[in-house]
Amino acid sequence: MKRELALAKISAGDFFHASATNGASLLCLTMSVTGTTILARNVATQIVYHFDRSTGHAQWNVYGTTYDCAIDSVAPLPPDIREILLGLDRKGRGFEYCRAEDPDWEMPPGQARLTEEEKRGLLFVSHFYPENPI
Amino acid sequence: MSTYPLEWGWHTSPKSNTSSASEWKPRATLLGQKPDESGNIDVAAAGDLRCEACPSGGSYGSTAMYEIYGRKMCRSCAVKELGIGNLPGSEQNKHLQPFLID
Repeated sequence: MKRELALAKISAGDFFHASATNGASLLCLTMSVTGTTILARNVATQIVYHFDRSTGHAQWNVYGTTYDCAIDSVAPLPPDIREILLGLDRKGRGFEYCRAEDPDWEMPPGQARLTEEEKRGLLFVSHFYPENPI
Repeated sequence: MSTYPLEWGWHTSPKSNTSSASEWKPRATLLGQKPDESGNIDVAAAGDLRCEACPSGGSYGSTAMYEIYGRKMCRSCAVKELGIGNLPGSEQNKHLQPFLID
């Protein structure tokens, strides 16, 4: 699929994959789309990225270093994997809300432990997206 | 005229005939750059991110490479936190990649 067309098809609620120059694999859930920008968050870290809709690139400033992130797959996920990733996102959102209510809140040890389903989902996307590039 | 080392004493001029203080120029260092050549100050490394999960807030000095739901962690703490210690290393990497920050 032509890159511009693939980027143009991304809409709110869609998952896509982006790779960062530091080697991070970003599992992005689209939050909103404008004529120029795709706003998406990595469901694993809850970090929000502003992707240029025409190029599919975003600048990620993390602790003093800037990395380039590029959308490299927009392949639709199987429904069960999509649900698993949405579950991961809900878990992350929950922690974010706890921290928003109480800035001193700390995640209890073991709360981030991945379930067998989550492990299956992460393992699946680790080969699914590279096998289905734009 | 040249100055011999053995001639040096209170009665000899400390001035060398080969260079004076005003003519002195820094030599290139081993890295090929003279001090202040760039006109900028070389800032020392900002330092690594410290693991927030290691005992006593990272007293072991581990570098945090991952962010697990808002907490910066080193690899071993991230593996422990996500409960993937029993998986092969290559699979651990696949699980950790989405959490990589550095």
